[in-house]
Amino acid sequence: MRRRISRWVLGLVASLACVLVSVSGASAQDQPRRGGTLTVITPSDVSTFDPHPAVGFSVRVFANIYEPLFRKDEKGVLHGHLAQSWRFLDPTKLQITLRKGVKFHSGNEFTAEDVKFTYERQLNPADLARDAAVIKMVKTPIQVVDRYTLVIETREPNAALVDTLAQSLATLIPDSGEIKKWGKDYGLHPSGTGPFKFVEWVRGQHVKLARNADYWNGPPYLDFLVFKVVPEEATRVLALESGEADVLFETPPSAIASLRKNPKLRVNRVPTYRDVDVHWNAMKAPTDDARLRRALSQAIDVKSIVEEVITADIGQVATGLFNPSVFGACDVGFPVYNLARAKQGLAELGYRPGKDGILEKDGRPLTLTLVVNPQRDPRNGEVAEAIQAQLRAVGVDMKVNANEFATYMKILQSPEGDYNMIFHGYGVATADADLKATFFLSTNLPPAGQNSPRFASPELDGVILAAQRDASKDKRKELYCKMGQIYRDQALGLPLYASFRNTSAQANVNGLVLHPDEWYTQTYTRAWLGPKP
Amino acid sequence: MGASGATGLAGYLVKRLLGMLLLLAGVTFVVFGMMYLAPGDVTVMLAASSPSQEQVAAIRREFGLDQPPWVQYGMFLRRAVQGDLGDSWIDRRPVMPQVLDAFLYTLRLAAVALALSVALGTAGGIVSAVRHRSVTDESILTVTLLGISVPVFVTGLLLIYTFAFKLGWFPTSGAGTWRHLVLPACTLASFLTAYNVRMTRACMLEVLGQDYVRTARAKGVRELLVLGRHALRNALVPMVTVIGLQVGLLLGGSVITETVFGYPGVGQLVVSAISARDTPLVQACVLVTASGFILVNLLVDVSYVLIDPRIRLP
Repeated sequence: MRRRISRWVLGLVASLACVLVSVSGASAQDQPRRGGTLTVITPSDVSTFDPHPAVGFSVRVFANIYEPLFRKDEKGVLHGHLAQSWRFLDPTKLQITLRKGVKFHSGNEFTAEDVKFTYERQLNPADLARDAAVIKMVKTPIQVVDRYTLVIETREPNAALVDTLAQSLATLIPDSGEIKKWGKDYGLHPSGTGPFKFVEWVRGQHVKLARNADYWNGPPYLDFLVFKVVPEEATRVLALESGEADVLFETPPSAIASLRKNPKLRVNRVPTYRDVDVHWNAMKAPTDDARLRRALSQAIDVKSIVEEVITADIGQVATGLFNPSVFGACDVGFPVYNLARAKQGLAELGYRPGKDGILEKDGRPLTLTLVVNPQRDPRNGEVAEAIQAQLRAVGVDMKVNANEFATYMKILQSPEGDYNMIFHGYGVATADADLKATFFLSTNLPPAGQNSPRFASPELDGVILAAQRDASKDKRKELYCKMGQIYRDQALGLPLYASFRNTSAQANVNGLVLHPDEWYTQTYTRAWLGPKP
Repeated sequence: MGASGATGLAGYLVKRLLGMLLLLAGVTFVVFGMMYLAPGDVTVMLAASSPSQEQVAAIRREFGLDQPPWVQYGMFLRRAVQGDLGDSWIDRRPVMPQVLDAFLYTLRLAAVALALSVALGTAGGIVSAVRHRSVTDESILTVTLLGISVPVFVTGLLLIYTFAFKLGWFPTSGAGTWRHLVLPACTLASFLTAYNVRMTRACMLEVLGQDYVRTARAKGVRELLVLGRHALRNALVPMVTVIGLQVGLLLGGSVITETVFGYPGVGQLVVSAISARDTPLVQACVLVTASGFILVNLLVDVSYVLIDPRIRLP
């Protein structure tokens, strides 16, 4: 009997112990913990901490220091951020009331003057703000009503204005007092309202930010946030695998499969606002003929290219002009692959096989040029080669002209437009179709803008501008569908794929906000480090 | 060296330094020309998303890009003579502190890589020459063949995989401590050592066959002294020439090694400056590294006199 009782007691104690261990384990895993340093690997260094002249990846770093007035969460829902409330006084006037009691890292209070200073500085050509074009619809001077209220006026009604001001890329608000104090050196003394404060920048090596204990929206859990510069892709992966770094924001596609098998790591596939298209040049012969563009478009099997070259880890086949995560996205019947029709169309246009199987018309071979910048994503070069091979199969000689970024941009924006087809990737950071749609306005024909299909029509302009001005969401969506249909009917190009991002992190990294916006300001605000497994 | 010798050396140095200034002016002209002719310009990098015409015009005006090229170059030269190489077009800050910072990192890496490669290369070359056509000689030659043939980025990644990822002895990338220097220095040294072994071996083989070496051995001089004092010293002139060139190349920064190891040297800086079309930064990088290259070559020329008293400076 005693033996039986002791066994029972032992069993009870053992069960209790198990429960206690699992509970404490669960709490250790699930409850956010204060402290620690999160190291994020980045492929390139910050150019400056002044948000206006800064380029490229800098934004991903200092978006933790600065904040915009509004933000869209990862589900696309719009929230006030530094703005407490807002309302349209009329279709061109937006009144914004700011959050009170928000302090910059310098101790200065955040007021309407900072917002006025920021946007006016960005819009002043002499101040050379890089992404000023994003807010070019805003009229200056900006009217300050009182310390916490301002009115932003636009030239025309703009239904996407608040969405535009909610993106991190061009709408971060720096400390105007500190900019005036430091002048040219402000880029080394940044002051924002964000969750992390600047500590140090060792050029070419790392940027260190520290927890802002006075952050208005509740201080972060992490003590420090470090961005470590590692230019080489393979080294970035090894740095994560060796545990030297905690987060690899963009996992190289070649490493995704092996990192997924690593039990110490997590790879998260996130939809983005980015899509990659190829556009025909509607102003350069012979692609200035819509019938030829249509036939050529039907000869390109986008689905097989995306599935084989891009793969499901990186993107999904585009069915319309806008990424499905973006407001205004609409399936307009892409892909349009139909080989029989393509061949028939080319024959109807008078193209006949000539030397080496290349189609000819009036003694001229059908030779085209495709311009691509494989720098941002080497797979775009592979996609270009796949397009080249598929067009070669129907007798089209497509030359691939691969260039680094500056040269690519020069070709894209040159008046002569020396290409028949060009790659164009868009990250629609506002999550509203307007940002991408305006590229197609006739006023954005190169060299003034980046209307890469070089197509201008009053009908298309009318649809884009109406969608920009209409306050009704349903009507706007309808108009963006119509825009997609015009794009398809005029065969202005082929939407290829909507991108995914694969962010890898150590298994003990919790609370990362993996937002479709690649510049998002709140990625690390609620991140915390659990015990290492 | 007597008083006249010292005066001769001073005159020679002055002449060479003046020549160096002309050479540097030539270098800046070539760099300016190449950056000017390269397609695409800084306005694209600074205002990437559909900039307005006014914005592009403002950028071009601020950087003087609206002026004819000879005026732009003239303005650059005038400022450079006054010791001002200008501000970066990207971050608007003076370029010199950035370049000197990067150059110091490169200098550290170059010094360690060179010390390793000279020590191992000379020792390996001597052993290989002394054991000519033995198994040791053949083995050393095979290893050096590997060192020369395997691309630097492969060596670098293999070292990271083994010593940083698998063994965890060194960091995968970065700079700042001696541990950060080990793997990139070994990567650079693997290539240079292979060359130095083969060159030392060839020089030593030639010298070891000379009469004075046979005479020294016949006199009963110890083998170590024969090798060190009689053979190696006479083999040094071609070795110093090649090592001098290697120093020059290392000072230019090893772009690939610096990129693989995320090492913030001048090689990485100049590549990012070229991509960004940041002409002032490119000019400063090239000027600093070219100055280093020319100075090292000058030192090598002067060192000939010290190594071999038969040599006279022109």
